Amino acid sequence: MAEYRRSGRRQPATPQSKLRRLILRILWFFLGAGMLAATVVLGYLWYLDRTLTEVFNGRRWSLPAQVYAAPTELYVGNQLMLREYLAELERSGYSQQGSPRHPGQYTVEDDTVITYLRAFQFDDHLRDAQRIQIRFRSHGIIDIQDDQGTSIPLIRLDPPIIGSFFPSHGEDRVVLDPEEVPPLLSAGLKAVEDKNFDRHVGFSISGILRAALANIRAGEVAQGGSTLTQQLVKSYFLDNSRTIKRKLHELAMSVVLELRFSKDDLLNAYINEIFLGQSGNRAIHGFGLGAQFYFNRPLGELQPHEIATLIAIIRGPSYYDPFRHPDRALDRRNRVLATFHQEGLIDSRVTTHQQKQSLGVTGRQRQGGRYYPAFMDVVRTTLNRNYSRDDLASQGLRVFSTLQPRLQESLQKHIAERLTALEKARKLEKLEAAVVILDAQTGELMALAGGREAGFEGFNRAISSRRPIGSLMKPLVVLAALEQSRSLTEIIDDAPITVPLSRNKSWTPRNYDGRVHGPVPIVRLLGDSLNLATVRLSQDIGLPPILNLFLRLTGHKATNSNPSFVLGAEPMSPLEVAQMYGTIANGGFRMPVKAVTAVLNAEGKALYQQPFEMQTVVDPEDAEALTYVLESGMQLGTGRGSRHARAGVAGKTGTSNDYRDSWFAGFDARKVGIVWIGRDDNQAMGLTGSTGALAIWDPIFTDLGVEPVTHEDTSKVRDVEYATGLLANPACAVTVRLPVNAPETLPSKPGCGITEETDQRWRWPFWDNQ
Amino acid sequence: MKIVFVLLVMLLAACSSAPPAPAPVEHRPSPASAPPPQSAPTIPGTESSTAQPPAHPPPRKPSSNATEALTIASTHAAAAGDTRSAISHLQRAIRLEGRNAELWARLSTAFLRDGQIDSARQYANRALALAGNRGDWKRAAWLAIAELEEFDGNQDEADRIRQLYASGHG
Repeated sequence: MAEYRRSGRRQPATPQSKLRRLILRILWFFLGAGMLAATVVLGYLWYLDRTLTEVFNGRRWSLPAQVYAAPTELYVGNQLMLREYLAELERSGYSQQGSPRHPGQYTVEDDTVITYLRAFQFDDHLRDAQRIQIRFRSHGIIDIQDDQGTSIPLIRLDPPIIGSFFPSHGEDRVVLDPEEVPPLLSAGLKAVEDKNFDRHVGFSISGILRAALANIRAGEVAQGGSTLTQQLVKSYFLDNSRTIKRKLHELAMSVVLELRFSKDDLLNAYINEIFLGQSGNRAIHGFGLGAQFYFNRPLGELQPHEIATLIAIIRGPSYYDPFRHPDRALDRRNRVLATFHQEGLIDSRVTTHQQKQSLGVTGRQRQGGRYYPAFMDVVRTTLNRNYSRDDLASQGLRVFSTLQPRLQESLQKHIAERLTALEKARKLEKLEAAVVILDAQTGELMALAGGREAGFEGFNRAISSRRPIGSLMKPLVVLAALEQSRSLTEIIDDAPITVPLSRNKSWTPRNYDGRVHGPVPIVRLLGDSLNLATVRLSQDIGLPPILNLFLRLTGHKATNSNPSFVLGAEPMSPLEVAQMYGTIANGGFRMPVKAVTAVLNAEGKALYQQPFEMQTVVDPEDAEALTYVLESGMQLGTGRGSRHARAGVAGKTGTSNDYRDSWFAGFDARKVGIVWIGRDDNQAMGLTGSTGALAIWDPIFTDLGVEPVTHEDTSKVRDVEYATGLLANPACAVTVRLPVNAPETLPSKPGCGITEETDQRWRWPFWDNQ
Repeated sequence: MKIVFVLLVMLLAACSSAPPAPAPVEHRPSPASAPPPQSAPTIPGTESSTAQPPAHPPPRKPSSNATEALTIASTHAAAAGDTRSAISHLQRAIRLEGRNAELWARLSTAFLRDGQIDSARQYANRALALAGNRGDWKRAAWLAIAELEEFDGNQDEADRIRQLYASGHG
């Protein structure tokens, strides 16, 4: 055999054997290529399966921290008017129904509102859903009862969400568990977007062909053939490019997901993931947030036509944007409702009724009404001390803030109106303003406006703009005098004064009116805002005690340690001024301004609760005495133009050099309000504190309702003539009520005094009963 | 082709070690939904009335039914050893009536029980400053101060204050 081979003799090949070899070669080629392809495909699918499953399992949705406003307390005696309560209900997304049968609904019958309160986890308490009946009169709430007719002394309305900390990529969402999803949404989604969802394996050939046919007919991409699973994959893992490679990738991924996860899981993932709109840099994802964003209500409370609107939006959140293109959205919504009907999800009567409804989207968000960026700046600063940006954007924290939306909206309205009026009346332009309202007793920030434009997410003048505060500093000089046991009736000469400075320089201040007022009591020095007397008194006291007082009141050091400091040549932000005046209003107790009261984790456990922090920094008696002086200034001094001048408020006007800044700081028993008006280019406006800032402060406090400052200990308080500081009878002199160190030694105004004996005899019985 | 594709994927799925799993859902309640019930403070007669009868005598009547309800709830919570709830109720009451010295005095005592001594001292000071000449408020403030004196080991001083205000006059 070997010999034979070596001889090289071979049998000639027949045509049949050639053909057989060729066929075998081809078969081997295809087999090899097939195996190679199969290996590649299997490898690819194996890779997809591992990575997709890992990512899908491991990935938790980033749950942005949600920030709530302060809840409205409802109780008998609350001066909350019916219309204000209805506005609160609207803010919290309650809807008016003939008879409230479900949480989130209310009805109005004359002066009575029946409200079905939602269950809500407050920072300290889980409140179950509950139906209550509130009766109103012209002065507020007069009765609250539950369903059994039992009186309720106090109950809270669930607060609205005022912002969230979505991550830098902008995704914001409210995640829903399957049991929170209305059946109509699940069924409706399948009916409209993917009829074969329960049967296909991730993609549908018939769906793709049907869409292709429709697109060819329309001459454009009119219909998508993507299943819900493909849409989920697209939103979850892929970009928006339209390439064959990406489409194949999408198909493979969809199949892998279908095999790995149940249909219910995928549908729930879709409901939480799908993109439903954009608001600025905030991307609205999922139906939970979609319901809040478009209807300001939880998904579970939506009516069929509202669910249909959300489903209608999916196809093109921009094209069918109900805010910008309501007609398109309405048209598509009605087609979605028709599909619901065709698929047997709603009957014809409901369909007809629902199709007649208006879109009903709430435009508030777009107007910046519900999201308060200036206030949120303060919340963010607070939270950044304890939480990373990632935690805030992903951990599902629930933040309870101190914002009172009703007040916030009131001050934004008054800022806009008054600035426009001032510009018109005085031929000014580009005026800006900032306002801070604090709860004087707790230090809680009730409202804050960073500028004229509500909802503007830019430069926040209330916290970032530091401007000279002018005469708002003068109360510190008087307080320093009180700390040195000086009397408010002590006479200071309002006469020209030159203060030596370093390097042979000197400073000669002037009064605003350019006049000299001669000897005046300290109370008038502040009331009439006299510069010369203030500087003279400060020189007498010495600057260090005044600077030290500033540190105690504000918690930070002054930047200017020159004599001009006492006339307000110290730049401060409105929020810092609020801290300073808050300490005075709070009787000498400094309470750091706070905007957050508590933070709960996603499970409702308190992570952070902020107690009332306070520190005694001024003797309460001195703070009280200064409050009397500030009340006098309102009654007879630069604040006398206020409509609340004699309503028991304390306040001080401030004007910086050349009328560049107009300030007003005022408080009543409960609230401190700081207003600044100026221009961003720091140009002169010609407005003083009383002609500018006070014009905004006044209407805000009218809306809030003034609660007069009260004084429990009046044993040292006397009627004193404003001009001279002498004891006097209000019947024959212009007087103010002031605490006096040693009343028995204070001389009376000739011919207008009251003898000490008479005073004692007539006053003490009343004091004893106070 | 579709069947082959599916079979291949199923084969791979079967080979994989990862068990089937639900799609990820973070369990955060939506604003209107209620998380699982937990032991929560309740205000008798208000949002959910499940509190037991008070172990302590009822507090003196504050100036409104709302703050009275909160004060009673705080007393209940304190009696049950739930100092955090007692504090929460009082803080809520102070948001309604910030110038009520009695509420600050009660808050001082609640903080003392919670071991937050510095705050307790400040709140007692605040109560005293707000009390002015009003007898019932002065009494409440001084009784809170007596608790602090006792905590500081000044038993005699605490006793003296309590004796002074025992009869309820100020």
